[in-house]
Amino acid sequence: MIYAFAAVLFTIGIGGMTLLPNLLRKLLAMNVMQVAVIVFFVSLAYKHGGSVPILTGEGNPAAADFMNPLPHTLMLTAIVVSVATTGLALGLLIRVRSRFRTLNEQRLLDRLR
Amino acid sequence: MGASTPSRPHRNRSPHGRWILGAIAFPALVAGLLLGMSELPEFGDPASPASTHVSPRFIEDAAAETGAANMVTAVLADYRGYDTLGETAVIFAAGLGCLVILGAAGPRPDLPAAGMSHPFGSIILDAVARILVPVVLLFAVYVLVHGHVSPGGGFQGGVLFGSGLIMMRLIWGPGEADRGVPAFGPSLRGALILACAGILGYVGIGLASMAFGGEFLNYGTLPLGSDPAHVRELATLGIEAAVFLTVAGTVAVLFDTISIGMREDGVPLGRDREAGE
Repeated sequence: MIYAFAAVLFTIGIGGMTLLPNLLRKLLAMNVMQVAVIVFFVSLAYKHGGSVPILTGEGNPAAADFMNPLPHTLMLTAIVVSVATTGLALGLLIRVRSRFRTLNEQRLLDRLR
Repeated sequence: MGASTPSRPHRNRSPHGRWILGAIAFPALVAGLLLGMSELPEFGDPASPASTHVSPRFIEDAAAETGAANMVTAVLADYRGYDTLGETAVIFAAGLGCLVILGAAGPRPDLPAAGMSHPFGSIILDAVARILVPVVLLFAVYVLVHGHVSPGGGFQGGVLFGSGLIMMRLIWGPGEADRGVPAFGPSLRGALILACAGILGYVGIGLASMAFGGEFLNYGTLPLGSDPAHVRELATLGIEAAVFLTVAGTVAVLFDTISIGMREDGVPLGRDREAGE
């Protein structure tokens, strides 16, 4: 079920990137796609009956009692990296628009011709 | 691009064509993804491949080896130290890239405060500046230093700290300088120095562990005590602090450069400068 949610979210993102004419909207659609991947990874980490991967109490921890910490780690960094790359993309968009006066894909292509 | 290139005939410029194509292609994509996902192990299965290879090692040994009860922190800053160094470098590079693309204006004016009852212009901005921002900044540091025993660490704390800086920059608009309100927080240059200090500190910890006879980013050799788990715990905290500095600095750099770029441009980014759209 959660996999289906990730699939639909991913497709919404790809659809937005290809169909929307405005570059800023394409960027936001790409963020939606990133969120889909993050949801997918975090859902892979889930285990029935597992708790959050923070050790509590004494004794040797058993692998089945805790969620998989690895996808959480990967997605934790991915979220912050996506913030930074979105900022960089916004910077590029500002430059593109002050040079070409538009963020519309078709008008940009016409002007580059 | 050259002038000699013959102009190609315009392709189908009707937007409807794209939407019709999309209406066929994207349901097909969803169907394909769902088909592939039906082969995945069941959701929440503890015996799935993702949970049976390297992750049991992390879960069972992380606390004893690194002294961090939060396994995510142990994996992030110790077992996968190389990866995190790369991620931090990507974040730093994004900040630098924005600075290169958009350029930097001069330093923000640093004026003495005038004794006004509401120095930030309204009681709401005053309350945010005086009550909310300090709490956010303090909470960011708490999230950083508690990363070993609770959800948190350098990335989360850094973003929180950066958002506190952004809040203050939003309150401290360009008009504030004229009314004598002092600038708060690091300037763009200061934020850049913070980010540089973070990434250099990260590499420095890695090189220090080499200097004491270990591999790059193998903290066990650092002369910080006799208990190896405790040494790793301290080094991990250092790594998290370095990540914190880089992320907080980069967030502030991104905000400053983008806001400078927007101010020069003068039109909201969502809108075209021309009529239409």
